[in-house]
Amino acid sequence: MLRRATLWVLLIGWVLALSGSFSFAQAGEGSKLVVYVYQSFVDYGPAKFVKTEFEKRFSGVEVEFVATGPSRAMLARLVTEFQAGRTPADLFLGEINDVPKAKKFGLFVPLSAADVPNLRDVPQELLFDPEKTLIPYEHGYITLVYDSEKLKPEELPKTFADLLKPQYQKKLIVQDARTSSVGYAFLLWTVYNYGSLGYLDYWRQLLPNILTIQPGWSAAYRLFRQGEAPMVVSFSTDAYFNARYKPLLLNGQGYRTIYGAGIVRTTDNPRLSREFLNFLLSPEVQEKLPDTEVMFPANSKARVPEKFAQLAVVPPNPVMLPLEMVAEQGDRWLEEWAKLIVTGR
Amino acid sequence: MNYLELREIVKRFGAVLALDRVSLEIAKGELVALVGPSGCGKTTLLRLIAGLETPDAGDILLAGQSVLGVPPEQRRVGLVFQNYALFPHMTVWQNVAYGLKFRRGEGLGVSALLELVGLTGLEDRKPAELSAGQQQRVALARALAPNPHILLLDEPLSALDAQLRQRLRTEIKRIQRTLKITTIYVTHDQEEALAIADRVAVMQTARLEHVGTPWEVYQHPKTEFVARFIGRGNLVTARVVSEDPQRLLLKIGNASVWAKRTTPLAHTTVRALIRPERIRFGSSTENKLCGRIVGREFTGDRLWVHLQTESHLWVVQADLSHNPQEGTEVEFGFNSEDVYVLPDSATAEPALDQPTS
Amino acid sequence: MNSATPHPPPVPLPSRERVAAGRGRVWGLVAIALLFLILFFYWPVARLLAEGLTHNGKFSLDFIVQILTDAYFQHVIGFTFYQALWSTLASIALGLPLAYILTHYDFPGKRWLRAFTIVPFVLPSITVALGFALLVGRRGYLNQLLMGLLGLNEPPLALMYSLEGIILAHAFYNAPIIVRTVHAAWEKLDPRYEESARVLGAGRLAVFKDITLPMIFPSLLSGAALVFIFCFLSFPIVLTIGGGRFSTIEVEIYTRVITLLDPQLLNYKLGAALALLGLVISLGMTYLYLRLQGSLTYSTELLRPRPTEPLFAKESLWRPSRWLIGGYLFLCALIFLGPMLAVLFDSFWEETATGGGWTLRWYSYIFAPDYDALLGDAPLRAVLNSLWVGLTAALLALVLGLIFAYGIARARWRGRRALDTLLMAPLATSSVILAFAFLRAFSTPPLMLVGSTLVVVLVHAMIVFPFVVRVLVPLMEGFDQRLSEAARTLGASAFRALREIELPLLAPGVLAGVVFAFALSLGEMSATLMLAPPGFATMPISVYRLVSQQTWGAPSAMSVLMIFSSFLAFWLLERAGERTLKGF
Repeated sequence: MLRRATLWVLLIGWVLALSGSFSFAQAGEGSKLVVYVYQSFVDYGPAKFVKTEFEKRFSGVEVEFVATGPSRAMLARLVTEFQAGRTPADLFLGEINDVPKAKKFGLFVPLSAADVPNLRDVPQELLFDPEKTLIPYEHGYITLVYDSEKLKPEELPKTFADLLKPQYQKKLIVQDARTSSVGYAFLLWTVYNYGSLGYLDYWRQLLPNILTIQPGWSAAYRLFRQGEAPMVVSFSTDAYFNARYKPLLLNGQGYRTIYGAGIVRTTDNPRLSREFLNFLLSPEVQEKLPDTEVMFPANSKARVPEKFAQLAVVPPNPVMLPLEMVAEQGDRWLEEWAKLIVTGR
Repeated sequence: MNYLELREIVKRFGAVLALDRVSLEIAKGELVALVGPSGCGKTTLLRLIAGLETPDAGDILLAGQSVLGVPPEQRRVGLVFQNYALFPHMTVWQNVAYGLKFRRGEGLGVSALLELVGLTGLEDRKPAELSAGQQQRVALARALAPNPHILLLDEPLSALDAQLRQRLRTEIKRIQRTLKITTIYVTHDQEEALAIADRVAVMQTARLEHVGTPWEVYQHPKTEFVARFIGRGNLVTARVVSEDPQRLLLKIGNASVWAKRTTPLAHTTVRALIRPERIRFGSSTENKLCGRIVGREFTGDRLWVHLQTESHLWVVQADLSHNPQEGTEVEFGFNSEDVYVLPDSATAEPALDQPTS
Repeated sequence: MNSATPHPPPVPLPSRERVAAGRGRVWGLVAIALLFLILFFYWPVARLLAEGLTHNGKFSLDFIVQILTDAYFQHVIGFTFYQALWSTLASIALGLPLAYILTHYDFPGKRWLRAFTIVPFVLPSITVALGFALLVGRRGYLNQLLMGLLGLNEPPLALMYSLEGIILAHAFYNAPIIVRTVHAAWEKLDPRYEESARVLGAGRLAVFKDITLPMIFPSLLSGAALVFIFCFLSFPIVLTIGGGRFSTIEVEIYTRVITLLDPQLLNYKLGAALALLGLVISLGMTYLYLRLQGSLTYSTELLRPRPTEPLFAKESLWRPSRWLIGGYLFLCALIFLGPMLAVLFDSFWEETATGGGWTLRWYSYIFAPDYDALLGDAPLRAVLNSLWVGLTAALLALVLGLIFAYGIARARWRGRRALDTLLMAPLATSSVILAFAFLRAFSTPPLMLVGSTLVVVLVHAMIVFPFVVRVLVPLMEGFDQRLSEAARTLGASAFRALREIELPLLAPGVLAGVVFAFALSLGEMSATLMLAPPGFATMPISVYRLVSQQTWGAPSAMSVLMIFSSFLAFWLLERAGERTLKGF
């Protein structure tokens, strides 16, 4: 009888699925560190190395990275969970421009060198947050990156104004500033150059040249590598990853970007979390960053590969909006921008 | 003592009055046929007895006790539905045995029942694999299985063809007699009702018009409706001209007709019924009329002749040996005891008259 | 009945109270179900709507006015209408000829094509989005083919990230609905109407214009209304194919919730107001649809079945019209099957530097128990989660659905219509709005459900249960009550009659309802995406997370699994349907 058989199949399927699903829950015995992080830290970055090594050092500890979205989406998720009082996250890795929002909600614990000894080796210029709620572990510069096999040097835009030319129609892939820290930084960069009154006008003209606005850097860069467009918003250090993809310094600039890690206020494992941050800042992990994150390590004692020093470009004119300004106006810029990209007006 | 008694039952569905103060008494072992045109409330009455509906007023007594409020499963009433409502997912055996689950060890048992209705050998069939007649028998056996106090049959034969209908009604009667079970048999076929019942109850729009033996109902209908509904007849309007101790003299059109004496007073208008089989051709009868043959219906066993007099169209059941031809003038007549004056039909006003079909 | 034994007096009496108690039990169940519905649907939704209608605790239309007068929100609402309208028209354009062909011709595979029209109901829309991207994406199979054939350097089809792409994907997804509704009506249209017109002197075209079209129009309209609602509420397709530059009401609410966009939104006022507007519109559309479905359909008694002719017969092979139709059918097959075949192909294909090759890697990935940070869960667990959540939600929906369907189908009281209308609201409420309402209502004590898996099960149950009711009500209404009554007179209690007679007979339909609910839950993405607790993923969520990172292969394999499950469910549904018709 088909009917009865179906019923049994459903029942057995239900029991198996339920028990199977819940058997995952009791996998770990000891304490678990949950780290919310952007996607590229997992798919390109040193997540695996960090997890393995840290778990080796602290036996019984399990590190679990959660990277279900780009950086700012992870932050939004953390805020939502934090406000509801039930986030499993112990640590968060994110970008400098997220600090204002994090502070507004009091997400992170202020730290000092006493908590994280390796912080002493981080140069003062990187310590953008006086309270040290997010402590820097890597840094670099947002620039455009182009595919040298698709664009010849004479075809390249030199300035932001050049980029508006019709010859670049649908040639650029950018990230959504609402969900991506890279996209947000690029938005801030246009504000830096065109001011809070002119940036929307710039973007309006830029829209025809944008092929797509991707939710995060990972997706954007993957499309770029697949050859969908010859230019993408990325980092000045990318040539080290693949010499074919070269940085394109508009107006000779690069927008400063610093990534930091913080401890979520509601963590059950403050001691272990501090150990994790210290480990993240240790030369051992820091020296991995050029090869994985393709970024400059924050620890000045970390040695970088020679080739990286050669290929990673430091823009002659690094720029950055003061964080206070971002804190004050960032949300408004973002909302206006979001409206613009949807309406085109 | 009355085994089943309905007292002043009233049932409404919204604005529709389905049963209007219906009272009926049924003796134990009796078979009562409930007959009436469709929509008159017969089925509703059955459903009330079965407990599938609740009356708005009145009472239902079984062996002297009210059964109102007793849910259908505890009433011990067997019900055969019009389209049988056999459980399509069960075999014949399972259908019949279903009710026995709730009354273990009572009644005849499935095989005896199937034998009684003549279905031995078909136990494993599904209802869809049976003929209409077989389905009917299963429905009967199923209703009888849990040893009900009362059997209710709702138009049990209406879905069958004429021949099968006749055969099965004889069989139902036989089974009912064998089991001596109190039975109400609902039908819209008056002939079936007369054939099967100990007593016939005639219903019209929510009311019981007449309850009596088939003979009484046919010969002495209480109302004009019953007279029309049961059998064929010549229903005429007549003026009472005079009376003597035994007889009434009626005027039907221009014809004078003697009728058996009943209550009506002289100089009133009454309705009279003369059954077609009582009318004879020739001049051997007490009352004599003259008419022209305007139509014939030959149905094999009978010959119906339509006769036109100056005032009426008469229907006559002719002797099969006669072969009256259309268009001929004939004499015909009937005796005074064959003229039945409907009770309570006397009015001062002359009523419209017309022959019944 | 045995004459030897005198009848015992009837049963111990009386039990008016018992009857009342029995009836009370049934209504008690309805009350409990209603309470459940109020708690997990009406209350959260009402609360959300109240948020949009109050300012500082007082009733205020400020936020509604703000949205209606804001150029941006006008754009979003306008665009939602605009894309839904064009998608509906495209679906009609694609579906109507197919309905005609199905009605008039016989051809090999017709049965399958007809069965295939169930697709929009069982195929998860995220897999459609994926298949569409794989097929017509800039580097999709179609573009690669065309580039190879025409020797182009740039992909000729620019459908991804465009309005045209959204409309085409919607048309692919929803044209079968048009085919289904129109074909059903057309098939039942008595050909004598058309024949009479022909005899009266009308040409073929005039007959179609004056007779056929007016008579199938109500069903076309009702199908179109349904398609419009689906496109109006479409979420994964707009999100994935449109990219960040297109925003419908649904996408807007989702994005605002997920990105905490503006400070004002942190108290969700504008979002709630937008949800209110969206809800009013979709409720209106749904009401219109149900009205159309109920009242405008011509009930013509079909005395003679419509004649069909073989599409490819010897004598008609040379006719160009037949080749046109054949070509159109091929195109339909390509459009309908293409995205699914693309997903299937991609799930076995791995791109490498040297070209590419066949692989089972993606399947071993989705059945791996290892945690994947990009999913926030282990792929295998996502699969299992989908299964158990789907089955639990389906079961919950079934229990609720049975109670309500029973109440609707059996009620003689006036409340019947009210109950029916009450259940219409969840049908018209989009999953995004429902999830938003859940987020707002169940994030604080005493019902702090957000963050647990229970909330996912509940929201799934709420989303699928109106569909279950809609499957069950006609079933129960069509059930011959006398069967239950026969059982009652034979001694079965109301409950036993329900259990032993009614339910077994309704079982195939009930099973179909469960399977349908399961398939719907399996594909549910929007609400799950918003409500899934940390460390919990389902199949659609995993597919979405992988696809939004522009990774292929693994999401295709998972989509194949979903499509397979959906089709298995669909197959069971058809079989169950067959049993309902043929069983007895």
